[in-house]
Amino acid sequence: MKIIEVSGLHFSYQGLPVLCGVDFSVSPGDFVGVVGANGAGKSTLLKLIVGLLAPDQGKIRLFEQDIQTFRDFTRIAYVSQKTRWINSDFPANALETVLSGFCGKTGLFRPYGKARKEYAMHCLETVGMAARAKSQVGKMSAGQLQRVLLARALVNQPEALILDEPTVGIDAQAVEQVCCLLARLCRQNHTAIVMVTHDLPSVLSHASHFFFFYESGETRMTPNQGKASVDLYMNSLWPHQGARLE
Amino acid sequence: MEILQFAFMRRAILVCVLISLMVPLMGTVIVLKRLSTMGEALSHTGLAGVAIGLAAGLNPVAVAAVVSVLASLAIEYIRKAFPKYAEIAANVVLSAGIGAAAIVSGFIKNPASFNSFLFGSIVSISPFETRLVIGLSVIVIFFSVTMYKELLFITMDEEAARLVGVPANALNIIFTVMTAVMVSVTARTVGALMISSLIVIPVACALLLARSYRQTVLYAIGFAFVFTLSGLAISVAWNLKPGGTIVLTGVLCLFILLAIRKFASKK
Repeated sequence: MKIIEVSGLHFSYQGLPVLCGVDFSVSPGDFVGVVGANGAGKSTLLKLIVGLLAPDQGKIRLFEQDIQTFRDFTRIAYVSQKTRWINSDFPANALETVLSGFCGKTGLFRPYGKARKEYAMHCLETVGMAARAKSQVGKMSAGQLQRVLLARALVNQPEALILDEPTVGIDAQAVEQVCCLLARLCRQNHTAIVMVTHDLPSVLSHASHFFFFYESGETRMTPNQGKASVDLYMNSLWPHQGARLE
Repeated sequence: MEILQFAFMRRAILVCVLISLMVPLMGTVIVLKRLSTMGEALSHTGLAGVAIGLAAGLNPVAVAAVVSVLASLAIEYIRKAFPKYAEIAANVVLSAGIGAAAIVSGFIKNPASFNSFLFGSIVSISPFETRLVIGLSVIVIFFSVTMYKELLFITMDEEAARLVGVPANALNIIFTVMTAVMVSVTARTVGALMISSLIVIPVACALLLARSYRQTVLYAIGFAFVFTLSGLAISVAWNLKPGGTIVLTGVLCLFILLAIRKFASKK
């Protein structure tokens, strides 16, 4: 079964083409690092996959169902580039934040209940933030906040995790913690991971595939080939220099 | 305690209690969503409703509620045209509200009744208005309590809330309408010119002390109780205007808390 299948995807912002014919697919247990230059359309691709944007052309299928008829978005969790703009003084604590991930499933008029609270704590434990459950998210470091948002994404036991630059603005040690955690989810639960990152070395030892966005607008999916992938990545960022170095 | 023998005083206390519950429940979301100018705008358009009601011989609180709800929908409509500048919509509606209130107030035969809405007059509430205030505030309190977790999520992260299936659009519209109802109910008691202070100050005090969202809401309710009831008591004892006394009690408390915090952090 394919979790995500994208074919012939076209998308433009107010007439400016961003994605021109993207093909992309993800199976359970895949860890896909999405890499490429700024403005290449990486975040746009993720937003299309979770239905925050609608494509101009092409097909997106989630769990072998067309995205237009797909409703159960709790099976796919999306973590956006939140740490950059989240209200830095929001009074909610980590547990309240994680619990809100249950909001849709719990339904209107109902409290979360004890079982969900326990599971939310379990998710905080998974990301190594159980000790900070009662700390306010506004007072956390970017890396801690990122892990809390990841815990919020985990409460619905998603089969795929879509992450937009989860490692931006956090130190190397925290990056490694987040990446190891994702790799563990991938290995143990066969959760598919799709992660946009500018930090290729941090995912090099974990990713099963890379999806490159080249400056020319081309895109390509390749299995992780270690050093060869790094060269491909450098080429995607600086195609002319890359050619000269060779 | 002999003051409680008077029916008007018992009504005033009941209304204070309801307002202290309703305003912070909504106010926490309003402040955290940075929508406090919306409260200001709606209270001023509510004044236009009061003026229309008084000029046409209708119940001013009821007309204010209707006009505020219409104004809140107008704010939502204008905001869609300027999504990044929430203040534009609020200020356009605020100006329209004051303009309309100024024009229509020229047709009111008894200006004293209009002034009572500018600065509030909690002790002169009629039994009918008390029932109206009770009915409307119970609706608003019911909404904000039952939608507590959805409001928290939308306020913190609307995009993520939509993705897990929270009906954010519908809730935003209901929330705006509820804000309009709240503002028109509160106008009668603390006065249209002072509503936004009652929305903001208890939440501001709560934010200084609270360690979670839940605590923020509960502390804000606590502060609102203290401000309205002590403000009412002081105003009766010293024969002051209740609306202004309630607001100034709140401001004084906020400054004391700020000073304590500064002192505590220096230690």
